[in-house]
Amino acid sequence: MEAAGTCCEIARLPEELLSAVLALTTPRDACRAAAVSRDFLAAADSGAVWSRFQPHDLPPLADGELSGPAPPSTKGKFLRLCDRPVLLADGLMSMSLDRETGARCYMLSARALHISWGDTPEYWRWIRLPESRFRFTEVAKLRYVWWLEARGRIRSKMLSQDSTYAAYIVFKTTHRHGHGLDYPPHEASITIAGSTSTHTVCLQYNRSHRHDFAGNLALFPNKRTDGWMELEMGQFYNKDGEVHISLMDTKRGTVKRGLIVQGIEIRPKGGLNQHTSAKIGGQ
Amino acid sequence: MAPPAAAADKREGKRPMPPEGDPAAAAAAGETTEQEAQAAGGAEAGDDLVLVADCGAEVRLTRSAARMSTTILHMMDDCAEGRVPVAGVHAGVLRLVAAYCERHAPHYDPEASAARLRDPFPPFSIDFRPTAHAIRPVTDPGPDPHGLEAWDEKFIADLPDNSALFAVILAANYLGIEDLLDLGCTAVADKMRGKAPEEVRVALDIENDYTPEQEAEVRRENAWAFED
Repeated sequence: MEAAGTCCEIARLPEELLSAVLALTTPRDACRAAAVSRDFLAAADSGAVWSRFQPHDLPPLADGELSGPAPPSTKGKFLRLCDRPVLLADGLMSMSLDRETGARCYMLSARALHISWGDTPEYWRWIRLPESRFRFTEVAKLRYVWWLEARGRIRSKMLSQDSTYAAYIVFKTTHRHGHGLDYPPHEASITIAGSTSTHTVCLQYNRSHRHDFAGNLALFPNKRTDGWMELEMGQFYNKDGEVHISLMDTKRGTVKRGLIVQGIEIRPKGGLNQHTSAKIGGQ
Repeated sequence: MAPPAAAADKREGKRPMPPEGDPAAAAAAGETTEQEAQAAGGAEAGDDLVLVADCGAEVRLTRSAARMSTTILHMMDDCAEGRVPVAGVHAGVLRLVAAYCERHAPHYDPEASAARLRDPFPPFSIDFRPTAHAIRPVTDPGPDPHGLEAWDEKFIADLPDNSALFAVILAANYLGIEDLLDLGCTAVADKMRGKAPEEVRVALDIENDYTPEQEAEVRRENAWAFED
């Protein structure tokens, strides 16, 4: 079989086959492919490619979500879902897509969590945010508490299959240091399909106390691009069942103050992500 | 009347068959049996099919392997003496396609094939660095009980150039062989993944037909993809 001139042989592939190829790459690759040649531009922007990157079925959304000027293309719809999470019908969760992989990401609002003593106004207040990227009406503001514990859960079917996810508690602290958030550390755990992984976390960076009592290195928070902090609570590989995420106090008796909890975010682990800017705390 | 697949497999012992691991030898063996068939005066009725390329070259294909091609499947009962004309496919490419089908036919599961293509996500694996905290270890490549994945890798690696790869994709598309089409498209996608446009052009022999201004415009519109 003779090689009949190698340049631009790919032009023999009709656009639908070129789209089939691009659909097997990543959203980032498909956007870069648009700059390869004019043939690639048409295929790279085609609906066939971008419909493969996003889920076909969205969960029921709150009224008015996805309203406004509709994105002109499937690619536009994908990017819109990546940039601005949509609020689900129950108002307790929002969903977005991970721009690198198209995987579904969720944010469980503070109201969706079980926060110990959360209903006792002496300890926790529920305040409205002036503006929130996640459009939840309320966040949980801690006045003070001895026992800090928050639990969330999500059905694994809502997440993308065969993917590794991590959970992050999204919060702000109102004091620079101290007030029980930097020491002693908490225990974060994730349970899926009967198996649990736990590790030590600290809501505030503490230079001198970086280990827990057993000598394990604690995880510290990172700053997000939206101005909030996030602390990784663990990772899990998505398969059937329900995912339970919890942050638990390990040592009663220390008063904690000055915490505002927005919720728990669940998104794919690893590689680039559009949420974290500078890391702090020696990770 | 098509013999059942098991009988077809048993009959293979009577005819010189290429070793399973070598697609190039399979193509050569196809050539040998073509000459034998021509000497014997055409295909036996109810036995193997003979695919006839535009140039007249003949490629033998068992009926069991032919099931993998939806195009041939619909044509074969209407073809006299089991001779199936295949238009627009080079003889050499046809031999490669036939070798693929022969290798895959014993393990072909049309439902699994269709199910895989229906589920769009994820089309690629998500990189994962294992840590002490993860519950599950990194996804392993999985078992390859029939050696098909290794054979497929060699099949693709043995293609002489991109031109051959594209020709295989076009042939698989025309003949309706979903698994081969998937394999070919994945091979091209593998050459693109993670690469900048200049590198993609080199890897796939593509000429840049943008003006510098046009290319800059496209890069601006997709700025996020070019940031590190």
